[in-house]
Amino acid sequence: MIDEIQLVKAVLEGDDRAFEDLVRQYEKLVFHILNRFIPNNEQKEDLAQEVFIKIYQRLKTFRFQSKLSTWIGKITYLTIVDHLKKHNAFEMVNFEDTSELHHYTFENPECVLVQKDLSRFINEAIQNLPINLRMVLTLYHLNEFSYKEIETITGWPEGTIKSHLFRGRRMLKEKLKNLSYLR
Amino acid sequence: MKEKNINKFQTYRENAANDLTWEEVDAELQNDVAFYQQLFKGLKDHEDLNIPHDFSKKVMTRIKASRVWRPSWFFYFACIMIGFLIFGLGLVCSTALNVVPISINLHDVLAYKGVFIFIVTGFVLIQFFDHKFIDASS
Repeated sequence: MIDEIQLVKAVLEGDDRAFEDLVRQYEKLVFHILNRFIPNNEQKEDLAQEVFIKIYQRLKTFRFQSKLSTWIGKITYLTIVDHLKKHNAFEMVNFEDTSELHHYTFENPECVLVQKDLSRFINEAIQNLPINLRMVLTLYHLNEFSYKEIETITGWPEGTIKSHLFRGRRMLKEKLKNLSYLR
Repeated sequence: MKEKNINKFQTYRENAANDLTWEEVDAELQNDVAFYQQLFKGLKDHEDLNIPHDFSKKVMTRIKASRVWRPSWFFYFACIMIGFLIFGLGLVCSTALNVVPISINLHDVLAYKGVFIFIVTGFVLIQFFDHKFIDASS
């Protein structure tokens, strides 16, 4: 892992290879967040590119007051919000709910699916949660940001974040329970 | 600040609807943390992110393309204004020096300034929106 201060300095000095390294280092973070909100692969890639172009253009404004990953998370979050607002989808981006089609039980050996399929199902369950809850769950559990970092990224107070996390987990649990995952 | 207060109010209302105190919310968030960490770890490890293998190269191509200089609307505006100024100066000088073979009445020219302003403004606006369109689509 390259030191982020060195990396940012190198990029600001005009080193393109350093920026390519930065992209490679943080592309997973960006795609993990985008994956929860943008169902279309082409759109997702396009938005990810947009995020990194914004990062490149605004890197000189980064003051190391937070971790670089938090700052990148914030840019990703704002890009997603802009995109959803532009497409009037802020409240209603829903992925196809295929939960009814899945029957994951550990009791039935025939239905024990490989971990990848299970992940796909969990992903679908998360994607059907309301956007705010989905965002907090993604940032907290998947990207492992702290409450403070999520506050920096989203601008929501800590109480709201906890409340969203609480409600998101409850709703997710319900969805998983319906599929016998937690029985 | 106002938005923060609304958020706070919303949070209190949500918790009230769940009949839980903040301590209970905190305790529940701590309770299941291991389960969710495990759940999301599995998701993180096995999720297909569909990141193209040449993603960083694609980003660099777009960044390099964005570095190519493109005239701004101000550039067009400045060009037109300079052109207009040169034309005006030329007209004034040639009239003063009497070098124009045909007689041009400056008052007649100035009478058409409204038309000039209209054309120039129209051209500038077209360039401005055209440029905006290019920006949005790139």
